[in-house]
Amino acid sequence: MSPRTALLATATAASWTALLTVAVGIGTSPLLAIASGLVSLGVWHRLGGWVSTVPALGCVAMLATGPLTGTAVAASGAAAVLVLVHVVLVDLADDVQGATAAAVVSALRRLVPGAVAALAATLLVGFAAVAGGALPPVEPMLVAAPLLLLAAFLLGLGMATRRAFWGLLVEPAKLSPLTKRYLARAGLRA
Amino acid sequence: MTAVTQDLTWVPSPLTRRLATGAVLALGAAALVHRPTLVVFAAPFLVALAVWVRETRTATAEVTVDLPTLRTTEQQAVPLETSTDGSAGIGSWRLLLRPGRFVESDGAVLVALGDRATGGWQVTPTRWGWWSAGSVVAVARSERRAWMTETSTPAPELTVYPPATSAARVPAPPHLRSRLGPHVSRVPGAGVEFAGIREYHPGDPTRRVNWLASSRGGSLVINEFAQERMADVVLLIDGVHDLGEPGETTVDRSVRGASSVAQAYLMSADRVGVVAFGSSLRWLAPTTGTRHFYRIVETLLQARQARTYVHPSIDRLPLVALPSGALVVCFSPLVDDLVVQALQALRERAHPVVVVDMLAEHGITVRSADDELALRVWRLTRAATQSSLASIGVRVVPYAEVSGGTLGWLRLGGERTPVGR
Repeated sequence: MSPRTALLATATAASWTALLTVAVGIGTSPLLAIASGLVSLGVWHRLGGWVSTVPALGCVAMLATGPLTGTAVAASGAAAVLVLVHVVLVDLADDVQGATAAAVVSALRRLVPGAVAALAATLLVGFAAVAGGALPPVEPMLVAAPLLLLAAFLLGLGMATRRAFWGLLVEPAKLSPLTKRYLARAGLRA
Repeated sequence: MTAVTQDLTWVPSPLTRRLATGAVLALGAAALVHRPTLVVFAAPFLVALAVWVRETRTATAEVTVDLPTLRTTEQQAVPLETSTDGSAGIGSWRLLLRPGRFVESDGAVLVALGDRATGGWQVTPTRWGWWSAGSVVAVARSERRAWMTETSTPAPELTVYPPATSAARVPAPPHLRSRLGPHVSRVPGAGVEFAGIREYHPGDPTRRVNWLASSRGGSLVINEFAQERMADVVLLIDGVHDLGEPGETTVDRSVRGASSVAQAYLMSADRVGVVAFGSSLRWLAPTTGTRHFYRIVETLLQARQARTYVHPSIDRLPLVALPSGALVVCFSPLVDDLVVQALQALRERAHPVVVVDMLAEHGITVRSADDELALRVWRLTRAATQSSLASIGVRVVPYAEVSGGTLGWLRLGGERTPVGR
């Protein structure tokens, strides 16, 4: 699997998860989510960079017509982070043709500070909205479920590609001198 | 090689514009429908943008465009190499080639992650002449992909020669020079072609004695051989008018034909010269050799350049450019009286002249009776021109005979055998 395919697969999974999270969170018909998801598949055929904003439009349209509950706030925050991941990965996928997995991972690492700040800001604004608006309490699993789903997808993708790509995101732990000596005595490479 | 240090002007990247659009849409919808959920949705977009746009960007980048081969022939691809070096602050490069006029490329877009990029394309010129290979457009993204910049670097000029194909056969010149060459002349001398027998004179080499004829005649008879000599050929290119579609104009085809004829004569060790009879008069004295072929082609390439208001005339040519007795092969559409007068002047100087008619008649559409009449008048005028040329001993052949190889079967008088491979 090429880096571009891996990035687009992850981006597609993120957008579909975001759309379905919003649809389930606000309890509306999933037709708009499915339609937006289908249009967003155009990024595979280089139909244009602006296609990557379609999931965001779909989420905004659903949230604008949905009920104002704590669950909707949680779904909105989770979907926003996932849509952000989708837009960034689609943008990066245009420039990774022929690139090595290490170069792609290096490019992704540069984006980590912004993504972490975005996640923190979402949680902050979400809690503020729930607390300030005196909305019903939020199910913790509803916030965690989409992110866990994406993490499971990445794990599965890494296993399917024998850790050639996503496995590089996690740096291997350094061995202690004692362990290295033990491995050397046993005739194994550290 | 063109190495240019480009000043970079950074603008928001597509990623920045898309994220900003998503945030603005969410905030706008939140303001309209009073939903805090949409504010929560817009928050990560705004914060990510705020973090990513705060990055240092390099002010300059070096873009190198190189053509390892500056000379090529029509339809022959040459590599065009490029490399970029933006030092720190650049996350990715996207390189594409905008081919120049009459130049084609595979159109591939090169992408590379990192501050440096190296790649290349194959460019194929479709028409002889001097053409720019194009320009390399380099689009760079900043490390966090929030900014982008675009630069354009021109590629070096490419010298495109006509196809290096030799004509299958070319006519043997009627007048030969008194220098050793490949053509069998009528003058007896040292050679290998049997010319006849004559009586033995003191001093003749005894190994040439024809013993069979001597025994029958009762006196010594020796074999005579024909002397082998070289010829002078001058190629005259009519560039006064350039008619036809780009790439297939009369001058385009004239230069291709002259190139192939020049190569055929040079391969048989004849001396070949060129006169570009067009907007300006350019000439090259006849010489032999492979290196001279490239000088000829360089002169031919100038056939389309430097328009002036000075009427060309062969009277201005020095004697070395037009040696006496040289065979003149003229490539012309025969539409201008200047050329016809020049051909008449050449015949008056006793040059054997062959005209290759470059004007093709195919593709003429007749829509009305007036068109039919005009076409008939045009054909009659051309027939009259050709007839007047034939009356003074000028042979007119169509261009197809140059490429088809039948030009060599022309009999110009005086020759023994046609030259050819």
